[in-house]
Amino acid sequence: MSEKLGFDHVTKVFEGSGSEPDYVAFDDITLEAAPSEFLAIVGPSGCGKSTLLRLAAGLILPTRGQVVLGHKPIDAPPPGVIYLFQQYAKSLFAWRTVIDNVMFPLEGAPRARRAEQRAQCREYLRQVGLAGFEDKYPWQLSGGMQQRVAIARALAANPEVLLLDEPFSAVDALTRMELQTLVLQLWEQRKFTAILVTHDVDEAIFLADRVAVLGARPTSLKEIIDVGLPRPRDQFATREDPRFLKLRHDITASLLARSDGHVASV
Amino acid sequence: MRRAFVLFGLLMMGLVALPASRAPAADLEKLRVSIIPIGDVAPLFAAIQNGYFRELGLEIDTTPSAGGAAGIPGLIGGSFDIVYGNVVSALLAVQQGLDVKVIAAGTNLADPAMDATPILVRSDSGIKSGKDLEGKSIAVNTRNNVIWLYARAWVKATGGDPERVTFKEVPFPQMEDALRQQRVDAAFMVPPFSIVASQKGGLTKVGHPYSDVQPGVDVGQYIATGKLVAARPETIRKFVTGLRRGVEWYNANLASDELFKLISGYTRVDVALLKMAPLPALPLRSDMSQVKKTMDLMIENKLLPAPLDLQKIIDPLAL
Amino acid sequence: MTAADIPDDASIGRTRTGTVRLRPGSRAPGVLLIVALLLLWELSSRAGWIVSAYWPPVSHILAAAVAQLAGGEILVSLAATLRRAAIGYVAASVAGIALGIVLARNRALRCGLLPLIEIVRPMPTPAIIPPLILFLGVDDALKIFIVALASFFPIFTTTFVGVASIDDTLIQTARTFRISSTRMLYGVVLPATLPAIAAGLRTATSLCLVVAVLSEMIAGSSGVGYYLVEMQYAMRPDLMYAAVFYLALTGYALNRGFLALEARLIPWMGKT
Repeated sequence: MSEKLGFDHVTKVFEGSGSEPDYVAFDDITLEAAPSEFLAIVGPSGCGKSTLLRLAAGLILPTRGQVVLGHKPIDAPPPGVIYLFQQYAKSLFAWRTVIDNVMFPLEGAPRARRAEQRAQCREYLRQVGLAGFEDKYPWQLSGGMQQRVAIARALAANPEVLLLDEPFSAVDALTRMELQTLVLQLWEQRKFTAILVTHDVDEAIFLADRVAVLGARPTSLKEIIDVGLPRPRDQFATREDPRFLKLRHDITASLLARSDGHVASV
Repeated sequence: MRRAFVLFGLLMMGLVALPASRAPAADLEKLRVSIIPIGDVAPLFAAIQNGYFRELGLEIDTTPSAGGAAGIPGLIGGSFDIVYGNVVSALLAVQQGLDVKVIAAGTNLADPAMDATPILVRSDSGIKSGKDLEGKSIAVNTRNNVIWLYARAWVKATGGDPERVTFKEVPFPQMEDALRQQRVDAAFMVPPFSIVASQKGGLTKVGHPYSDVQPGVDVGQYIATGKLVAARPETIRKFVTGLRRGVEWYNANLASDELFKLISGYTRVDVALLKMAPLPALPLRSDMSQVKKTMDLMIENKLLPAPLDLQKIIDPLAL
Repeated sequence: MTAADIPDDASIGRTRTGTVRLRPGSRAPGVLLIVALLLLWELSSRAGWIVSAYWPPVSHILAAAVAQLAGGEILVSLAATLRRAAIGYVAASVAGIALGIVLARNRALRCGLLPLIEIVRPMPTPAIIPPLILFLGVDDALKIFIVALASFFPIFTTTFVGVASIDDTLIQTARTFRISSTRMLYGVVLPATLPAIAAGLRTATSLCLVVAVLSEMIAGSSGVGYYLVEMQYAMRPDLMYAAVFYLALTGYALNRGFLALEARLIPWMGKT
């Protein structure tokens, strides 16, 4: 199950409070993730990448333009769009055990299906490598394990679109690689549309079909680069592929370039 | 975990449901009386204990209020039917426009030898009169009340100027300590504190403000609202009748063990301690001329701006 | 993924509210200090360093405490006080938690009610007792109201601040799962605020007992507060202090019970 998600001439302005001036997060962005596509969005810090995802999740509304899921404009959190936050510890429910966190998206359903759903959630936990940790509390787990819980919970919500907001930036390098591989495996199995926001160029290339590069403020879309690396990807083979290095060069250069097109010396 | 929670809830509910009152006796008219737990209200308790009120068809529920601060507000608020208070509080209440009436006399102090409310000083202080207290301090439980008024009157009566004496508020139980620790130079004390303090030595009685200043003063009073007196005159009459029988019993048993046991029962003061001071006889009727003297003292000390109509304040029942 | 990945949280000795839980064994000096002070008290009274009707030797107080317990008198008084404290506490909890949550989440109500609450909060209770007597009498209604009023503020404040300081990520996460507003309240906001609410409830636990005693000192004929005044006026300081001792013991037991309950019911306290 997957759905396309598009930004159609989207502008987002945050009203300044009191004497502060209004703040234009980004201006006139048009971008679309095709069904089952893995789209990465890279940009310098503070360019409003997360704001794009919050718009896609229906948590905030655009000032102008619209965000479209399938053929329907988004005006509230739509079904099937799930958000994976960077701060996994803050997005997990501390009062619920691991299994109950994963069950959370399913609890609106009739009680009769509860046992079946519980079994399903155990399976999700097994898929993310957390079999045996069902009855722990999130705060009893390491950071990487907590993000795995959040991933299992996202799976339980049966996502058509998964929004990944720098989900691996708060864990150590090795854990990050493990989680990247895990997300890729799950994406290949479930075929949801994935939109990843990151400032890590390597991560974007390793995971995505296309990489959208955003400029600094006022943020606009600079270019969209096709990755074209073969799948399934591998932490060693893919990263050692000469095309990977070329892409990293091009995208980094694009990120470092000033708006007049001049490339800063690296 | 759930069981602990349920237990906690049950405990709370149990406490909430705990019965607050006793079962009422059938067919008796109930009166709730606010009292101060001191010897002065012994006739009331004697009348209850001896069944005088019951014979008249009354059931008296006494509610102690240490110091009596809640008395008049509780009377006006309807919590009490009758309040045992003092003449100054009653007159002040009337001055404030509150509808209260004196329905029975409480005390009548005529003889200094029987007066257990002395002014005490340190024996080594050399203080003998109000004149000696000028520039010094005297402890009273509250300012602008009956104790304060008679302390001032005593200072004046013994040659001093009350304006030149500092009146310090000290609760009765702490007066002896304050005096011995030289935080005050004199203290106007009431039993049982005055009895204990004078027993221990080092302190001397220099006067008895009530009986020195105004022999026969009516300090204690039983007070009700005018509304209640008008609405239930028969009930009030029965109360006063029962109370008078209590006074008669009390006056006839002044030195008896039974009376001391009775007082100890509601004051919780040891009988041995109570026996150290004589009990004064108590009055059957209010004395209008004594109340007038108190009123004049209040005017003199600026507690009242002008005389009040005592005929309206003292119910004929009390006379 | 091994058990070694689980952070060792045995080192956590500090709760979210900042209270430090004592380890067993570290209490000995504290107990010694108390014993030393009590001995000093005994000595100062017996040797006559302090002469006062209200400074009886500790041994007299202990004897009085034993007699008090044997006679059952103190239990009757404590039960009356606890009953008033409990009713006021329950009322304050319901009102404090409900208003705390509602005001934190509803801007219009917040603007309407917060000024009133802020004005009532600093009012000293003794100052408002005379008008309260006029409306509530001198019996349980008055005493329970005073207890409820005093207990309300810590519960309300911690609830209000607790709701307001729930991390936005948590609410956003819940929103993306498209839960109903009822589930948002009972399934997310309430449990996320529970540690804060518990802190307020614990403060109120100690407070409600103290205030119940104070309220009983105004008038009436039952409860520890009345008993204390009665014994003071009857010149029985030994019984008075013994009652204070039982009161302190009750307060201590309530607090310990609360902490135990908290650890059982809110294991995530201080873990977010």
